[in-house]
Amino acid sequence: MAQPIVKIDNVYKQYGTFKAVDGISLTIDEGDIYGFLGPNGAGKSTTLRMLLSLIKPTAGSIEIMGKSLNNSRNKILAETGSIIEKPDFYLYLTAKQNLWLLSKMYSQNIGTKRIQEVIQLVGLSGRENDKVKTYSHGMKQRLGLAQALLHNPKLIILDEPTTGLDPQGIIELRELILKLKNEGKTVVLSSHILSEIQLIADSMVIINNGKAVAQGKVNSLLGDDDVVVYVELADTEKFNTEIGQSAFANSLNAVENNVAALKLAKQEIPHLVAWLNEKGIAFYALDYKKRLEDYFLKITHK
Amino acid sequence: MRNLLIVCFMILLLPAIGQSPSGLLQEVNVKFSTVKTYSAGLNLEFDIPGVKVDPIKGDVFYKAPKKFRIKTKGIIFLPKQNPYEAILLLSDSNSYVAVKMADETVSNVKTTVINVLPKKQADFIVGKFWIDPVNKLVLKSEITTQANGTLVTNYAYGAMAKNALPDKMELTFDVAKFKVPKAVAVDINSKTKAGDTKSKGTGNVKFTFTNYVVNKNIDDKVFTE
Amino acid sequence: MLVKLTLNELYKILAKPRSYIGFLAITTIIMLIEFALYVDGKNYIGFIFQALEQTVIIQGEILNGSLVCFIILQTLIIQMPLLVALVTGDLISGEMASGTIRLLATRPVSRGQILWSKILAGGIYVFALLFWLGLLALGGGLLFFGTGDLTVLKTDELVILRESDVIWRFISAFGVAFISLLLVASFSLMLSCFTDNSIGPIIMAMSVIVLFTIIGTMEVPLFDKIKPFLFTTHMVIWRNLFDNPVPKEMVVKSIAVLLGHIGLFLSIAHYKFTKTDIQN
Ligand SMILES: Nc1ncnc2c1ncn2[C@@H]1O[C@H](COP(=O)(O)OP(=O)(O)O)[C@@H](O)[C@H]1O
Ligand SMILES: [Mg+2]
Repeated sequence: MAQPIVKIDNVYKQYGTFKAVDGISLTIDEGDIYGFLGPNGAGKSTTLRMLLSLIKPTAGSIEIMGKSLNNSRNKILAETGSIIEKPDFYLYLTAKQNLWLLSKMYSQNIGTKRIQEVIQLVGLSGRENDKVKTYSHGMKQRLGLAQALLHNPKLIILDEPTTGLDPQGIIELRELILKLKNEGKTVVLSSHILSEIQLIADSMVIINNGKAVAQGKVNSLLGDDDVVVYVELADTEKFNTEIGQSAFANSLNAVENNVAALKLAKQEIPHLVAWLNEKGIAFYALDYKKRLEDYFLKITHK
Repeated sequence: MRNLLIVCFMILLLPAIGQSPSGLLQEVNVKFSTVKTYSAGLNLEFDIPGVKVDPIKGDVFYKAPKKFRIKTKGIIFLPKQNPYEAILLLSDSNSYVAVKMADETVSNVKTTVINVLPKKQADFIVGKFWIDPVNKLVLKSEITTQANGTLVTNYAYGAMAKNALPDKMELTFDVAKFKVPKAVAVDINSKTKAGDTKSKGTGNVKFTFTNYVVNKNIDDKVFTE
Repeated sequence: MLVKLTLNELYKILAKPRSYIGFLAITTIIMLIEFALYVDGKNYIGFIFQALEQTVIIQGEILNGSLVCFIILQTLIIQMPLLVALVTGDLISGEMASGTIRLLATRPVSRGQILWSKILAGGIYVFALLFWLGLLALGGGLLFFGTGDLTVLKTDELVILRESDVIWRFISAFGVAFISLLLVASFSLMLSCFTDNSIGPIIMAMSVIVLFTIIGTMEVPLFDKIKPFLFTTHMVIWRNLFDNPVPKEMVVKSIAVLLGHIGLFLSIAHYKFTKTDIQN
């Protein structure tokens, strides 16, 4: 059983009467890639900021690497690397100077060799002596990664790391994250795009309105046992009269605008089609979505 | 003719020596005239209205008849009138008329007071000397000139009295009170504004001489540089 | 660690062009003053003393290095707080505004250390600025005008300080000026902790100083009562070191007031910065 590296217990962050984070509890296992998924304003960044002690929780406790964040902040941060929101740097300095300044903030000796190494790792070689002022957003994002990895941390927290990256950059980032995982590191990343998390994460939490609405292993959360089937009906009336007596009566979610939504396991779809044919209920189309995906799309498109 | 004139003068002056005011002045003058040059160490103390300044040490150089120079490393204030004006005045006994006044006591010494008036139109208007008749020393002088106002000098003598050289001199003179133009003043408000708004005041400078060196040649450059 | 952090902060200060504005301004102004006095100083002095010289002979050079240095100090000390605030008012808020504060606050160093490294770096900057001023003013003054007694023109009197009595006064005056400027630095740094606007604290600090100075120089009885409570009143205490004798009690009291203010401002800054949520 994997060791938990991060334990968040009933954490709140309140601004006035507004709860940006509303009682989140979760555990992140060491060595995992862990996704924070949620629409904009859900409270992802706020939660991640609390992990880095940038902001203080209104209530609740955070434990990282077995230590309380309150008491062992510096020890924890020595082993943690992060990018929160935008990758901001001293624009009047070069990438190398930026990294050099940051390297001085660790008790261990981080030499120029290591600085070159991370510059290479994120693909900024050749531009390291340019002022950051001249960088594109994507390049800053890469430099952001470089500074997060500079001190070879155990825990890496990346808040929306793909924003501003081109498709090639996104692929490279994904590969880098997997590589870090192979090195035994824990990577926490957030996104408002499901596929980004789904593709790479081992575990995830979906956050909405400051609450954790679902959490667990990605393949069980986004598995085939739990899908929503949409049937665009040609004959809604007939469907409505027949469905009550059918085996699908309990699966029906709603019928809206001549579209029926049913919660099923994926392997039940052929049975549904067979039943529709048997009853002679005409339909134009049938589609399905994984339930969480479906849910997520709903909360993001509201 | 000329000889005759001189003889006449001599006869005229003869009774005066020893008793007459100009005779006394002459005696004083004679004593000082043994000094051709001197130099000395000098300490200067100032009391000038509107000016706060610490004493300073320096050197003073004199060469007969009227070369006079004070050298210090710092800023000093002196009366416009040459402090040796009094001595100079006495040296030319032809140029003045001496009038004896009532005796006065200066620094516990009974002095003969002699007023001196110019014979011809001159810069000095009136001079007044308080003379110790026993030691033939000027204890106080008061010279009023057209250009430079009145200078009162008090003299105190010590070892160099034989040359009529004072150990101390205190010069008192009128000064326009110093007013700093508003535009350049530094506002140091360390004390409540002084109520002293007199525009005129009396300045005072004290000379204290030490280590007199008399009649040793002094380079003229000293006085010009 | 604090040493490393302070060096980091100095590195950043040195990398920012605005940090040189102060040095440039000081150099230019000093050059101008020295040039003007070199060319026209005699007339200037003559004008000031013309009334006095009607009745007294002033012997000795009034226009000398000491006076030039004093005039420079007198002129520049008004600008110095502004030049200082320009840099120190930005130390925290600038990083807040640019978001780089996150780079610092997510490292294994406490917020207090981050703040103190900035305070120290600010202090060193202030010292360097003042040192440069002193070097140019005193150095240039002595080089072009020579040594001599210092003539101080107070409103109600003229104070002449003997040459041997001047150097310690300049050194003490620079010391007191340093404390005054540290006050400006800590004041602007404190303001800097309360905003993520980069120029806000600079403007604010300058405004407060200008306002206090104006109140302090206005001859209004009502204001006289508040003057002792304005820190700007105590910032000009360096001038009193050129009085004779030095009003020691007053100077010591003012220094204590200045140090008290510095302590207060830094405590507030510390409290605020270590407690604040970093949202940028
Ligand atoms: N300082 C603040 N004051 C008030 N509300 C805030 C503050 N910071 C964040 N919020 C609100 O908290 C919510 C969560 O924000 P955030 O954590 O940044 O969301 P996410 O990163 O998931 O997009 C948002 O609604 C945001 O407006
Ligand atoms: Mg966010």
